[in-house]
Amino acid sequence: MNRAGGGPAITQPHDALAYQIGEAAYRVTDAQVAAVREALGSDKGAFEVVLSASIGAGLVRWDAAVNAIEGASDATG
Amino acid sequence: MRLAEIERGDSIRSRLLIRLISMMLRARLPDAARVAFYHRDFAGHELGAWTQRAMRGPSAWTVGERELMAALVGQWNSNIFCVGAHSAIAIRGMDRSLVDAAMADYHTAPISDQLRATLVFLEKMTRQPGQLTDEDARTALAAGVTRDQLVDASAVAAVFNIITRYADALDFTIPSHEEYEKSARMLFKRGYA
Repeated sequence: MNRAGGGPAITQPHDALAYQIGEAAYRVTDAQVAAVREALGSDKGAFEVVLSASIGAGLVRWDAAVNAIEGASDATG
Repeated sequence: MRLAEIERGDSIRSRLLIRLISMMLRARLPDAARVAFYHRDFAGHELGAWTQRAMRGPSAWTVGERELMAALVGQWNSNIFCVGAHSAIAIRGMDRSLVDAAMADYHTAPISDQLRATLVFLEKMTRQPGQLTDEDARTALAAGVTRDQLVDASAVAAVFNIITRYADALDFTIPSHEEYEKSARMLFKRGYA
């Protein structure tokens, strides 16, 4: 999850996939997903990496929004 | 890359549901629904609940407005599937020409100032979350957006920043226009539960 939100690198091939999902998921290649699927040995394993990375990228944005809104709300009282 | 187990379902229950709903729709069940049925214990229950709350829970935003937000997050993330799916649902709650205008350029579309200001916030949240500041939120609030509206809209954007990513990574099939319309009717009424 962290990697897709810009966190530190993790082991390959998971890192390449997680990073790409965070940065520009429309550029994810079949080879990147296939490499993770092969490393983990199952569709479910590959799915967990994809979903975790996607959720990480979403939560980074959620946190950024909530922090901005709370900061603005605090200032106005 | 498409994962075969998502396509066919990973349990007897999900395989039956996929077939039954496809029959009712008279169309291939979209990949978004297949993913929602797949490996649900991993994060599916929680993600489904958040999606339903964001898109159909109590909010000052209409269903159409929230679907427009989802479609635009799809556009900002270059995800064709979500652009098509959520535009099709948005027009069930908003005038088609308004949705088309907002998708073409929300800065000039004849939408409310509050919706426009919110979309500015959501676009920065999507594209440059690290640069989103209190000032961006203050700008939206100054345009008449309430705090609750901004939080609700941010939830829509967060959920669709998740969905657009796995839709791309898992290589969702792009439905035909007719298939989008059939799914849109069902999703507008029933939501994502």
